[in-house]
Amino acid sequence: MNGRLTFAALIDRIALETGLSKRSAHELLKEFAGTLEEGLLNDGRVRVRGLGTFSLRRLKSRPGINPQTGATLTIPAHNKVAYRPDAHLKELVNQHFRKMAGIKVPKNYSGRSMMGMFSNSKVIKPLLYAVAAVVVVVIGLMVFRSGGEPAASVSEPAPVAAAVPEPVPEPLSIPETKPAVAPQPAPKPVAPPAPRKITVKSGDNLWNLAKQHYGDPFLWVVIYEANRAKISNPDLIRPGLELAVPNLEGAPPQLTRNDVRKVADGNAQAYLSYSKVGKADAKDYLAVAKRLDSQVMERWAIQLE
Amino acid sequence: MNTTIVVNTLARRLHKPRKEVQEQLGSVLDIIAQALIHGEQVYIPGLGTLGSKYRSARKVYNPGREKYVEMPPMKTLFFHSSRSLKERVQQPAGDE
Repeated sequence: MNGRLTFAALIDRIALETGLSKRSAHELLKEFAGTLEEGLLNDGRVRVRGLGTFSLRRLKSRPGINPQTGATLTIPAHNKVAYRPDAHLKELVNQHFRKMAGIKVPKNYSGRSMMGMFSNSKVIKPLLYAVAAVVVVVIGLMVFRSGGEPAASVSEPAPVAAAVPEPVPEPLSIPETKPAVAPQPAPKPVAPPAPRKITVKSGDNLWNLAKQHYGDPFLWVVIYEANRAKISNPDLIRPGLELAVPNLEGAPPQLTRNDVRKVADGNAQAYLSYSKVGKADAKDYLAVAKRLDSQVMERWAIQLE
Repeated sequence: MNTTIVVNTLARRLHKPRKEVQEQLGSVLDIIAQALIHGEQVYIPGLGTLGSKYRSARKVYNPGREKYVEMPPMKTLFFHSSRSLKERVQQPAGDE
C-alpha cells in the first residue's frame, strides 16, 4: 500500500500511456517541474487542474531548538512551498481508501457511518450480486468438473486465453517526432559551408523564413544568431536586408549534434535579446536551449551574467 | 499561474502544439492521480514528492455545537518539495 512510484516507473507508464518515447516523457516531466518552479517564483502560486495548488508561503524567523544539542537558535525567515490538493483528487483518494477500510478494519471504528455508506452505495449492491453470481457459477463448475470428464474443464479457459492477447499495447516502438510542418523544400545543397544569402522581402519574418528554408519554423533562432549584427529586434526585419541562412548538416527531424548546438546557441541569444526588451516568454528560450544542450550555460556564462 | 498557462509554457518550451501537450500533460496527471489513489508516493525530480498519509478516526470538538463529533478515518495528501526546489525558491525574498 505504501509503495513508491519511482521516477523510472513513472516514465515507463507515461511512455506507455501517451506513446511518447521515454526520452520525450522525461523532457516533458522535467519541463513541467521547471514551469511550476517558474510559476512559483513569478506568481507565488500555481494551480494545476486535477492535481492541486502549489503556493509559496513566507515563514518569519522564529526561535527554535537544535534537537541534538538542545541549544537555542533562531530559524531564519524562509519560503516554503505549500500544497493544497485538488478537491476532486482528495475525494478520489478517500473514496478508494474508505472502501478498503470498510472491509479491512471495521472493528477499530464504530462503523456506523461506514456501514451506512456501504449499504447506501448504488455501486456496491449490484457488485455484490455479481460476485455472488460468479461464486455460484464457480461452485457449479467445480461440481461439474469433479463429476464430468476433464475435456469440459479444458475447453473452459480457452476463450479467456484467446481474449487476453488482444489489448497488447503496440505503439511502444513508435518514436515521437516533431510534427514536421512543411514538406522541407531542399534543405541541404550538399555541404557547402558558405551560407546562402537571401534578401528580405516585404512581409517576411524570421519564423516563416525558417519554415521555408529548413522546414521547421522553430529554427528561426539559427538565422537570427547568424545575423545578429544586422538585427536588433528579432521580431522586426526590414525589406531589403541581406540575411545569411546557415546550412545545417541534417534535415529538421534528424539534426546532427552540431546543428543542435547551433539551435541551442540561437535560443540562448533569443533569450538575451528578449529579456532585454522584457518580453514575457523570454525564459522559455533559455529553457529550450538548456533542454537541447546541457553545456549551453557554460558557453554563454559570460553573456548571461 | 493556472493550468492553461502551464500548458502554453510547456508547448513553447517543447516546440509542440498546445493541444498535444495538453493531452500529454493530462495523461501524466492521470497517472500521478492513479498512483496517489493506490497509496503510492510519486517522486518527480526537481519538484518533490507527492503522497498520501493515513489519519485515523478521531473525535473533534465542534465549537459551534459545543460538542465532540466523530471524524471518520481519512487519507490526506501531502507534498514535500525537493531539496533543489526548496533552495531555488528562497532567492526572490532574500533574508530579513
